[in-house]
Amino acid sequence: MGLGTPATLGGTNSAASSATLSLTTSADAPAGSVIIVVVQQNAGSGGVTSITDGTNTYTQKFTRWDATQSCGLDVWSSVALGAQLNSGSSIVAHFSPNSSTTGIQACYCTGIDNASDVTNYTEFTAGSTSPTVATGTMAYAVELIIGCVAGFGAGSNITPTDNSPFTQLGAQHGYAAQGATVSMAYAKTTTTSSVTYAPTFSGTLYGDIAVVSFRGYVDNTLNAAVGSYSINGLAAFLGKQFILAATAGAYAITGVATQMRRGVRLLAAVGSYSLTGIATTLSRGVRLGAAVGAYTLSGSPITGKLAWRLLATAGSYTLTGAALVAAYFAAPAPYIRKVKAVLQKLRASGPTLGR
Amino acid sequence: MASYNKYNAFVQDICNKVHDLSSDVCKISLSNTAPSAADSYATMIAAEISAGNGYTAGGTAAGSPSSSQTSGTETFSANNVTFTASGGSIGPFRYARLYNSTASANISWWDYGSNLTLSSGDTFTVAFNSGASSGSIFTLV
Repeated sequence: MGLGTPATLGGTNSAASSATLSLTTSADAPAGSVIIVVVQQNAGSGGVTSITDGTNTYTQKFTRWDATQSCGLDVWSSVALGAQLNSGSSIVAHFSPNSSTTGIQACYCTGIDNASDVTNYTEFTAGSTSPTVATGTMAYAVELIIGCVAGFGAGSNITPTDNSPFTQLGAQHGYAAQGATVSMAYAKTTTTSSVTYAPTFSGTLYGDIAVVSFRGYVDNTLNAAVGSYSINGLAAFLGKQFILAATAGAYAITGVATQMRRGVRLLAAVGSYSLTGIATTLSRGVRLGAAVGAYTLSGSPITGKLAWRLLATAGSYTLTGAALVAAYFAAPAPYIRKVKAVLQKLRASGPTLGR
Repeated sequence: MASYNKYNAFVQDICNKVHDLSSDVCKISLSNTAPSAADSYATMIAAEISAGNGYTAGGTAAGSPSSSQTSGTETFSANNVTFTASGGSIGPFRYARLYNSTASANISWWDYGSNLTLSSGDTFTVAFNSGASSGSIFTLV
């Protein structure tokens, strides 16, 4: 869980001398959170001897005794709570010797380490309405900074106004007549740059201002993109040249109609096949190649022309044709010359004949 | 969002029925050594960061893995995996690697983009497909 936002658990004060000052919490402090307590006292140096809530252990993170003002400022924090500390619980500050003019303010925060990082303070015993203190460069980028003040003023409740980025968590006035004031504020950082706590007060205050930081937990996230895989098959072309291997047996092979073309061969193993085809037109120069066998060749009537030849292999053929006018015969030279003359005239004006 | 990077072995392992993603345990382990697509499972395991302070050797299982098919697309999903440093630091590390711990087979990895060290209390979450608590890891079409 990353650094959360502090929430107040309330505060209290007393002008009477006592060995303790007890705060009744105003909210639940969830398991895992850390409770931070700021205490003002005038018992003397080391005047706060412990903080208790009946369950959790608290350790001192900062203490300052201002002998001039007889004002002590302490910051304590708990371990990470093993279980929720319910609203209405008591957080007790113990003093030795007894202290009067006391004040306590507490908050809880999730997502922090209870070991403090930076502590720093400024003493302003000469009085100030705007004391300041800087953290200096932080050890971590993400930290919770508690800014606090304890002091006395000029006879009235002196209220703080916090500078950005601080937010007020509460203030107590243990002895209003002396302007006793203890206040608590927080800020959260995102860089290691120094942060200055510089509240302004409604009246002059004499005392100490301090900052105490706690390392915040960081939640890191790797947003993992979705991967994708694909299984792709290759197209399969089924057609001629594919061989069907089969063992001995009876098979029926059917297929779509195929057009037989010159140069295309149908290969088949031993078996019985029926081969049918569409009619074909025989043209000059086109040959029908066939293996040894019996063939029937038929065709449409053909006009025999000079130099046309019908080629066929050995076999039996029936050849029919139209009547042909004989145009060439042997005769004595004078008759041949006369016939040629007649033929020349016929060629010039009549039907075509052979030589 | 960090890109999904494939270990080459995964597609072969799919064909060799190495993975049963309906029941196998898949884990995320951390490394500070740049992975390569050609890395073997042994290479991947050897590059893991040291165990301790909340990081267990072998990494952390991705909870509630599921594999479902819709309209011919198979999608493998699981709960996000979170590491929390406790009592000390984890890292530095940069890479989160997904592998099948049941089959001892690597699948994929993601690059955080920079070295990261978790201090005590810090967390590192691998959010599949940026899901709040779970998300798709890969699809097979």
